[in-house]
Amino acid sequence: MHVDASRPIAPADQDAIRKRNDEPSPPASHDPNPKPRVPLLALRSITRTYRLPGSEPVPVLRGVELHVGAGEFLALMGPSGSGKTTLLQIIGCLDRPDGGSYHFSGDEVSALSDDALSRIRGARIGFVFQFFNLIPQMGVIDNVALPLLYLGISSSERRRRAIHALERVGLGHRLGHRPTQLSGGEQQRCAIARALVAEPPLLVGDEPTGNLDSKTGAQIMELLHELHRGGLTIVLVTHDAEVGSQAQRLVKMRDGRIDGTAE
Amino acid sequence: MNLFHLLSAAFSSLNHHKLRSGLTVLGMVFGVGAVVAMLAIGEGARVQALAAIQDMGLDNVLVESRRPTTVAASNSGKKSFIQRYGLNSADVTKLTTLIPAVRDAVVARTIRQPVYSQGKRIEAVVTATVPAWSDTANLLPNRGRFLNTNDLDLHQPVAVLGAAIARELVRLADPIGAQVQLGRKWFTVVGVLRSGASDRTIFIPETTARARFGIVQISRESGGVQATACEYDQVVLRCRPGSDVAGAGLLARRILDAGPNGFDPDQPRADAAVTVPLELLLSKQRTQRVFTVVMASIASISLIVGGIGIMNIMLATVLERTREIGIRRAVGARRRDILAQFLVEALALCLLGGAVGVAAGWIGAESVAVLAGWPVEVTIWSVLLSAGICLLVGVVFGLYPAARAARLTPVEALRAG
Repeated sequence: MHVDASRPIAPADQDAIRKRNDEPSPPASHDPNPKPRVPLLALRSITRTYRLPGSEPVPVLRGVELHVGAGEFLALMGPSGSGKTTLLQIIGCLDRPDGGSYHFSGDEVSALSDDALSRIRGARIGFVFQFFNLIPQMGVIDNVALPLLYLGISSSERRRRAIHALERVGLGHRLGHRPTQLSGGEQQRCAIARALVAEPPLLVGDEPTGNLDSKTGAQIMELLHELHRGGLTIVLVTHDAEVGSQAQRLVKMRDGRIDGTAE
Repeated sequence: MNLFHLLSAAFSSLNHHKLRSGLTVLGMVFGVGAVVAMLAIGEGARVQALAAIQDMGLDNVLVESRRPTTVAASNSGKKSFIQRYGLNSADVTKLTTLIPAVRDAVVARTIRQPVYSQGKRIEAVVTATVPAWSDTANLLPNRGRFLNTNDLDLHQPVAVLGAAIARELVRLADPIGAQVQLGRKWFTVVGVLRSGASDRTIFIPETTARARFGIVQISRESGGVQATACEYDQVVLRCRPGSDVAGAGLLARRILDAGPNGFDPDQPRADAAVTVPLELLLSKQRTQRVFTVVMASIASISLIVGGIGIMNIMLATVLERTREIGIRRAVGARRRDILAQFLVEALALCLLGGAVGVAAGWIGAESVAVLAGWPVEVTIWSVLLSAGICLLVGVVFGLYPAARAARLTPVEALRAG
């Protein structure tokens, strides 16, 4: 089965994913990357080194091997400096690896142009950040519709789809507000709506509950679980063991490498 | 992302920083306003100067008598109580016959006689002339008529009044047929001119003036009585259309300078001056062009200053909004989308400033016209020029900050702030 990443997942595919998710987990394998049936993301020997002028190059990723199947819910954990955020940025096409290969639903993206990466970010990846990253000068609807603007979608269609996405995350009553008028949990819901509006197959989150109290954080995790059940592939970076344990699959990182996988 | 989206996004972004945008725009407003106002004032001065010269007639050569300041320069050594100078009938005959381009000559003399009406003295210039003067001076009668050949042939005691004089002489009654006293002679008013340059002039037939007053004029000056004789104060040589007016002017000068002993370069004739309005026009146009360029350049400096202000603000904006740039990049904006966004914002600032500036310049120019009484003329090309410079300033000074914004990688931009 091949998931066309540029289109929303068809209900039939969602059923297939759901069925697979309901199946009992295979017995723990020594292979840190159990072969998923649909490899949405395939990273091989990914390296990334930060070179700042006037200081020694800092290798952050030292050969990461990671496969993520379509419909997986994966959490990346690890101590500070282990490279998990850098890996997430590479997965999210915000950054490019220095070496190795990265296939995103079959396409090699580590060699793509800046414009092509922008298009992948806009159409096929949704981002959720720790500090929400909403544009305070713009209203809730405009913030959510922003990815559609760069996909060249008409103004009325953008508005329609933004409202739909906001209703999906339970913010249908906050359409006329600005981000600064929302609570933290509502801002993160708004950011999730923005991540969903272009109906991408992948959602990446950098500590999405890191700036929320535990109750609100739990609500956000519940929303993410709901989206995951709808067929969305989710990759999160987190410090929070509680969040990590909720993931379908937990990947631990240490010193720029995958340390082991807990299912 | 079409231009409309970009512009509406730019204006809404500027709207969030009203004070800052307003102050930035102010630089452009003053720059553009100064350009528009200065060009309007320059153009007004140009049009007025050219109109004044054109009134003299571009096909004409003006020859005027000049009263010499030293006695030696006149009289040609003859001892006489009367100071004789200036143009005479012989000169006019020579000028009209020897210059091929000249069609005819129109003469005029100023008569120094007091003017009275109903026993009251009136300040007026009395000019003795011929019917063709109305053509050369663009005079049109408002009521009645100008002088005609019959008046001249029969030495009629008739007068044509300037508009202001007519109002003063006969306040309520019909001026036509009224009597006006010049010196001791009575003249009948046959026409009143339209309002214009000759408002305080009374025109009488040249032949009548010669017969009644002669050509010797006596006046009291400091230290005694002065008697002067000048047959014509002004001779307008009317050239054939399309002929070489400048050449005719040169020839006129030569003819006047040629004394009884032939042409003597050391003894040019000082009591006559030759003016060619066409040459005046050309030289006036040249100086006006320089004047306009200098003024526009000075005003353009303020436009550049305004542009630097815009660059400054845009750079600050880029720094302040680095995180926003990162967010936009993360959700799919390409480098060129970011570039376009900041460039259009700079352009929007410039265009806003330009639009307000044109209005301000226009109002400024009209205020100058009303307050200082200067003629102004806001031309469409000065508006287009300012708009063009605005656009250029926007692009030039907006490009660098926009390029800086676009150069950031998404990760760098997101890390900021």
